[in-house]
Order: sequence, then C-alpha cells, then structure tokens
Amino acid sequence: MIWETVYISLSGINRIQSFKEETVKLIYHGYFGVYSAFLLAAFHVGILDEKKAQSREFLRKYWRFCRLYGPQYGNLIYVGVDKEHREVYCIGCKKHGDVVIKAQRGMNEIFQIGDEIRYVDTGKMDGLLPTIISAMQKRPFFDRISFFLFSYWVRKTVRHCLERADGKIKEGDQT
Amino acid sequence: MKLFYYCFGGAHTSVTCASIHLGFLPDDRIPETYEFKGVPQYDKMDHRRIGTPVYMGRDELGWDIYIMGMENAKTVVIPSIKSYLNVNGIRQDRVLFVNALVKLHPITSLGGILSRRLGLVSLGRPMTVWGIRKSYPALLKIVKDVKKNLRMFS
Repeated sequence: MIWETVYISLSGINRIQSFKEETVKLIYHGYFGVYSAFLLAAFHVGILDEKKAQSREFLRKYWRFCRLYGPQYGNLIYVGVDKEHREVYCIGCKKHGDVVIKAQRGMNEIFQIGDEIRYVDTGKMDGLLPTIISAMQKRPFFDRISFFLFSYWVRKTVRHCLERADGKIKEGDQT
Repeated sequence: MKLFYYCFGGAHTSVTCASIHLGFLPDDRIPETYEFKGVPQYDKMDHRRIGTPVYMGRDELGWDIYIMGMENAKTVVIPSIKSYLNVNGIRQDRVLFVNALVKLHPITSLGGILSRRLGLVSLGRPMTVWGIRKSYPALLKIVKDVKKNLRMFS
C-alpha cells in the first residue's frame, strides 16, 4: 500500500511517497466476542497465562468486561499484537460468522486496504454456559450465581484454550 | 464514497433499488416484466456469496453503488463493517447503508426461495418479478428519498 505525505516548507509544497508494510489481522470470532474468542486471543497475544486466568481478581474484572461488551455484536475488540507482529482482535458474530467474514473481506477489496485478514472460529468452544451467563448478567439479582457459573466456565475452558492457542491456532487458521 | 443497498439475499429488492438509482429501471412508472431481464445481477446472487458486496455502477453524484445480502444479520454485519473500517482509519461518512428490504408480497419471497435456494429459476424468477412490480412504488420511494438526501449533502 502506498501512502503519500504532503508537507509545506519554505521551498514549497513537497510530497513524499512511502510504502506501508502490509500487516496481518487475526480475528477470533464466535457467537460472543468476549468469551472463548477473547480468551483464545488473550492467550495468543500473551497478556494472559494459566495462573492469572485462575485468580479471583482477574475473574471479577473479566466478568465485568463480559457484561459490558458481551451484547456488542459486530464490534471488533483489539486484544494486542502477537510475536509475529500480527494484530489480534476478537468479535461476536452470533450465528452469522460467514456473512461477517465475506462482508469484511469485501470491504478489504473495495477500499484497497491491502492487509491480510485471517479468521479463527471459536464458536464450538463456547458451549451453552456463556448464553446462560449472558442472560443472567442483565439482571443484578442473578449477579452472584452468574459469577459462580462464570468462574466455573473459565476454569473449565482455560485448559482447552491453552491447548488450542499453543497448537495450530497460533498459526492462524485461515477460514 | 460508497452506497450499499442491502436486503436479505442481495438478489431482488437491493438490485431493484440500485437499478432505479443508476437508471437501469425507470423512476416514473412500473417497469414491464421484460425490462427486468436487462438488469444486471437481478436474481443472480448465489446463496454462498451472501455478505459479499457487488458493484453495480457509479451515479451522477459520484457515489459508487453496491448491493449486498445480509440475511437477517444486519444488526451484526453493519457494525462489523463499520468497526473494520474504523480500525483501518477509513472515515465512516464515506460509507452509507440503505435498507432495501420493504414489506414484500409473499409471492416474491416464495419465488426467491424457488429460484435461489432450490434452483428452479424458470419458475421462481417470474414470481419474483411479479412481486417486485407490486412493491415497486415502495422501492421507488426509498431511492427517491436516498437521492434527495445525497443531493442535500453534496
């Protein structure tokens, strides 16, 4: 991709053409963008480890994060940059992951963005609990029980996520 | 600047709106059945391509007109597109989404299913044309409102 920078100096208007290195965007997507999609992305980037994921403080913050961003379907959440300088995001697509992928790839072509996008489907890892937890989070009355279920779900999922993040997902499954 | 007409399958109502916008179909009368045959992309969108934007042409104001099928996921797909453009530093005022899904005659939907899902084109396509001609005034109103607003902005 070519970027043109225009600046004004004493000698007049100057233009500099520079080349931007094309980057890779890795997008973890699922029904929700904040449950297994976020966990996998966080393990991938390295901002989360198994010990930290089990701590009560993290669970409390993560539970609030899920309550805030869980219902925001379609919003890309920036997680970080991995060791290979790929930008890692997560997104909630409900059951329309394939339509979202085609739409974003279409925009990539129309606006000549030039970056490569890779998608990793995490939908199968969510299970039923995030749906129940998400429904409970709408009512403060269920806060305690939803947090209990949430903690159980995180503990159950972390090991599975770690196995996948260490394996082929780190290479970026192209879908 | 890009304008996207979207509907469920991206094969009938969005194509009709884009065609009226670009002058492929008349804006002062209901077109005859044979006139739909000349419309590019009419009843052509493959079910597997739903979500992919398809270019239709450029209007007199310089807007690039596209059509898109979004199934019933517009509340997810539109934010995901805007979010993606935002991440890449593209201004959102360069993109406009117009819902072309009006209240259709059931015959149109049935014709769409027969033609696009079941592959019975010779049976389904005339049904969609019949239904679209019934809903044509509503589609015409959408396009006229869009064009009026575009002229105001430009």
